[in-house]
Amino acid sequence: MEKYDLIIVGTGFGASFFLKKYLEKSLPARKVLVLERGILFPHSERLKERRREKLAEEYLKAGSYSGTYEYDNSNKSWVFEPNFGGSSNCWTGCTPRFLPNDFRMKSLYGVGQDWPLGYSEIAPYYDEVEEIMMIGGPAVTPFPRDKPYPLPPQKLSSVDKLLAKRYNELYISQPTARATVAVGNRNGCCTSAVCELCPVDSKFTIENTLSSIYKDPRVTLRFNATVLSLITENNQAKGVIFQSEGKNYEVSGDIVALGGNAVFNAHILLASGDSSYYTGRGLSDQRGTFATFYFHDLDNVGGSSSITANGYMFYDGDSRKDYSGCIIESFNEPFIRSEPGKWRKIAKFKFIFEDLPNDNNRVLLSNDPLKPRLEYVGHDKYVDKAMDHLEENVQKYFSFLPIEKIEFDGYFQKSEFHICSTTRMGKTSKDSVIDKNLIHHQYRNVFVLGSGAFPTITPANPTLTLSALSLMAADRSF
Amino acid sequence: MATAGIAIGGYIAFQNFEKFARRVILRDTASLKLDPTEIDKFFKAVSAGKRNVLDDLFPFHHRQLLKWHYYMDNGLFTLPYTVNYNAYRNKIVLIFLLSTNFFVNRMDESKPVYFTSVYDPYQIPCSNPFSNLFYPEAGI
Repeated sequence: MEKYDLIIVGTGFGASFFLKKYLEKSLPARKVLVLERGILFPHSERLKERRREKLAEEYLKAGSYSGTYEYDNSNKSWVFEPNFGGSSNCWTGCTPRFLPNDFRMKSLYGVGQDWPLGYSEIAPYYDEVEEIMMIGGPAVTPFPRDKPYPLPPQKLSSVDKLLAKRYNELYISQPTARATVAVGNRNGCCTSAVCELCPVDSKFTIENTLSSIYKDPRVTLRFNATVLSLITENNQAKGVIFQSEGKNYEVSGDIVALGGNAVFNAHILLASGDSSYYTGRGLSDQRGTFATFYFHDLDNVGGSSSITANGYMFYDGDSRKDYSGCIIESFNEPFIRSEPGKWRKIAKFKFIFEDLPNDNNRVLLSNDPLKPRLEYVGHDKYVDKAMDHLEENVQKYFSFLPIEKIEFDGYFQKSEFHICSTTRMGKTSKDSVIDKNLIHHQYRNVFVLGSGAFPTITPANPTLTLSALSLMAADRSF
Repeated sequence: MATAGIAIGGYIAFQNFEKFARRVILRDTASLKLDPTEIDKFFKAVSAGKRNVLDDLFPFHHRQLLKWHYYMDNGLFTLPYTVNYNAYRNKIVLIFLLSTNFFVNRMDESKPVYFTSVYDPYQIPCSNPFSNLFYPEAGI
């Protein structure tokens, strides 16, 4: 059986930031095996597909998330990208930090669970991820920062400017991995507003910025390799079993890092006999809803990028004892109203609420060893209460604008594309699956990376935080 | 009566979407200096393209909602999902106007509107006409 010092499952954010730090801190003789279930589907080929141009045969085999799990709840979907670079290929590039209070929800507000670490512990790793991703952001933010963002902020629109003037650090240019100026292999964002596949390769992806780590001589990268389970003995992982083109293989490793998403990390653990009550439980995502604002005499123009700003006016505070905190996103796509003279006197805001992980929402084994089964009974009432307060909060914070009318969608989007909390971190195995260094309580040579670690999910986008956790885990452990 | 109802329903359900969209665009851009032949140029270009933007933007159920609302709503009666209907209807007009010089002319309704090319950020990136590239003085 082949033997490696480290086996990493996946090549998305969690896996790649972990590998980057591991390589920085490890000896030249180390051997790392990376098992990626998909293929390298390059950005240039993805663009061809989008333009309906002919693709080379090999890229026609690129898989999608569809059909990778069993699930029958049509009200909520779980979306991801199962190829090299993971969801860095399809993310929007929104990178707010969490607020210090996000780590202390139980202590401060009596809901959810405290994280086993605080903001000050993760802050240096936020700095590091922001440097690697070359984040653009404003000088003033609602979360503490020790130094300026690497790149300048994106431009606010005319509507954003009014809100920023009124709310200062509670309404800011959104920190973003959509490069505000050309940097590295990336072009500057020019507001094409189709970020799920950027036409000018502006947003950070693993492919455009971190693919070099996979060319390190210590690393062997194997595509089309779906990990089924760990090989365990006496509460230690001895390796993994993976399937490639219908055949099963075993490979041996001293350390295993699970860097799939929160569905598949949990699935691999369950298939390995992980007996923790919490493994697979807590499957959650934020819930988002749109509102369209019609203005009397205010054109909404001049913003850069697809989401220009984040609002924090009803994100944090005592209301979180009763209902979810909310982050606001100001959209800047080319939407209009079909009314003469009022074409762009319109704005679209998304209101995104945090959910509380519920043990009954979970990942389970199915009869097919390749496919997890997902059960989702729904989000917590905490979210519904926030939705109930939305119109009142919007009136409170937006009514100074020249609003003609507001149309609330009144329903939640099916996905915020953030799969969280199925392998939660905590102080002991009595309350969690992993510790604050992302090491499994039972299998002490297994890291479980990604947003599955989040004890509470906050309203903010998770990618920056999960990437920082990966850097921190590798930095502290090697 | 029932036969008439079925006939009307059939007409709405099966009406060619392009013809329907053309009708919507004509009505919603009535205030603009727009020769209808510019709309024809747009649809011709859409049909000729490898990527039919109308197919991408308007799945079947959106098309049905649009048509049923358009034909059935009146002063006394409105079908449900009006917010969605308005959004989809705006989107038809939007994709057409984005394919003209109208927004580049900063929505100046006194200037003639001409078809330029079908708006597709994968063919011509950076062309969001409301962005800071087109309104550099508006942002900070």
